[in-house]
Amino acid sequence: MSVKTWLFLYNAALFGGWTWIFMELMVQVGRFWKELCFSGPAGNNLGSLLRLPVVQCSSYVLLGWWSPPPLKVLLGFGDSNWQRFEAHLLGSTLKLLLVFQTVTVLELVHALLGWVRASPSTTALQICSRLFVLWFTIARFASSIAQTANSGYLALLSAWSATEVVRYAYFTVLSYGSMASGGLLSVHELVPTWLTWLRYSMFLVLYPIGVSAEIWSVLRALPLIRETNFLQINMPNRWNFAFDFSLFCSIALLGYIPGLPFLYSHMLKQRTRHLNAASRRSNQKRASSPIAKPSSPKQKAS
Amino acid sequence: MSLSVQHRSGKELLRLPLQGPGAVQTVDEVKEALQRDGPRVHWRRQRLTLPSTATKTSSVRGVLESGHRLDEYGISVKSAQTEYVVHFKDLGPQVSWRGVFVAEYLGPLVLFPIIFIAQLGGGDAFKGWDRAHPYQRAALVAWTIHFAKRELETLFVHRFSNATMPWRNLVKNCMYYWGFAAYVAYFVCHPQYTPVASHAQFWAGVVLFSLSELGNLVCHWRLRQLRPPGTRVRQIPHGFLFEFVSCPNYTCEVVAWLGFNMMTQTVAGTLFMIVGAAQMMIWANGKHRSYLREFGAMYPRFRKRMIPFLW
Repeated sequence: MSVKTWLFLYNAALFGGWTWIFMELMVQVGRFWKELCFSGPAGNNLGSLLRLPVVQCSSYVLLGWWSPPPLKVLLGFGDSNWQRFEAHLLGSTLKLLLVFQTVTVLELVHALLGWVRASPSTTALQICSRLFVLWFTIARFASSIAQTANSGYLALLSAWSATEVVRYAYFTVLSYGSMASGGLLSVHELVPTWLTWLRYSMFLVLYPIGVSAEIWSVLRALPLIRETNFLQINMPNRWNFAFDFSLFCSIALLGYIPGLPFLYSHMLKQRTRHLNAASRRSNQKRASSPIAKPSSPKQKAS
Repeated sequence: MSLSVQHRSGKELLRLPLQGPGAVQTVDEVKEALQRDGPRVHWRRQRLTLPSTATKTSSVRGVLESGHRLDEYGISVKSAQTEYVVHFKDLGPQVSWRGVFVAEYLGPLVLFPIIFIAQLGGGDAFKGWDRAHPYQRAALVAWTIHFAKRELETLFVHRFSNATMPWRNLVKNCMYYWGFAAYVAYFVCHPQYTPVASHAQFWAGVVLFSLSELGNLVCHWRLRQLRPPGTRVRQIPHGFLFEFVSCPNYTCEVVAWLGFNMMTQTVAGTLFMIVGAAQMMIWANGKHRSYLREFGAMYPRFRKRMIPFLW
């Protein structure tokens, strides 16, 4: 099996996995919405949708879904309904999330082997920070998180899964095209403009939500880590080593302060570059001159 | 016949004649002209490169180094080409290599004793010395010797080829050295420190450390002899461990840290050694390659990069 075939299969599998997670999320949100909006005596005809309580319920779900955890606390999303929903969601998606997020370690292997153009250090940082949040602050304390309101899990799950569905769709198309064309076509000849647009625009909203949810998860786990002495090593020992995981988490949190604006501006730059290239490409297509088109410059696909 | 100095965007900053009155012939003359009539950036901050199209087709290197003639980079009045392009980049504020080295080694030199005194003596130096385990005292002495030696070498032995580097490197290097110094010192000078069980291991560490420090000094001294003062001359080093590897100074440094870790046995010190070794392997690879590029067949083929016979 060639590298290109493997990359296509990998991306397609992860696209499938993340779509599964995203659908699970949709189903749960839909169920919650239905429960909240249509549980009353009012029927589910069109007229009732416009009635005030229904509008209220809808805005409640939408706001709760898309707002980062600190904002949710500010808006008072802490009642038992909401808590039950988040706990339910945790139970139905955590295992899937663990599986498909852990598999992405393979991406680091791809980068190290030079199969993809992404830099190994950036890829390692991205994957490790996610796995760190997922395994050590959420999965480890899942049972106590399920009992708290505004655990941040919903924000985390929706930001991550929506980003990844689009990202892997992009890479699936790209790797299929590069496999089928033998690497002759460039990125913007393979990927439809709308998909490129989604890939380089959704982060504008999802990135702040995802990052705030990650920070929230770590902050929430800090007292639990201290209580349980999780991953703690004390002196004295013959290797003269000590490790305090809550201190490590606090230092990692400080890393978000310079990291966030840096990454966000880096992604804004990438957005401009890719969308410009894509629009140039689609303009060329529209012109459809009989003269052979000059191939668009190859862009870094990371 | 003219030379056009441009930004990477293609904007022309200065046009210089290659023939007739005011003609430029060396890289330094171009840099001086840029400092005087162009973007008014000090010549040390300037980086001049050939456009990528020029370097792709020939074997010349892309960066125009100070102290070289323009025709070494293919910019010559004798060729048929009448217009040459050179790209200009402002590297930003610069600091001298010597200054960076002095600052980065000063941290470990000062922090280790401070942490030793603070953790073991509660602020009292003599009490700290008395309370420390003999192996901790040995670690303090070894650490101090190493970094004092580095400082003295920076001031009196090294002859730097590249006079300056961007000031950001100062911040980065200091964070690395000062941070690791504090991290290692915290564990080595800990009140609950566990000394190594075997005396043989400790003394083997001492011997390894001392010999490597001496070897490192010899290497640095030999490198100094290769470059007459005030020049940027490069020659093939010979003798001593240089017959086996291109960068024996790095080999000695890593082995010295191995000795230190055998004496003290801390995870922190081992991490410091591994990260340092990885960085030195990258540098050794680059140095070995530039030796091969510069001296070609004259360079001894037997020599490895850093590990004798192997790598």
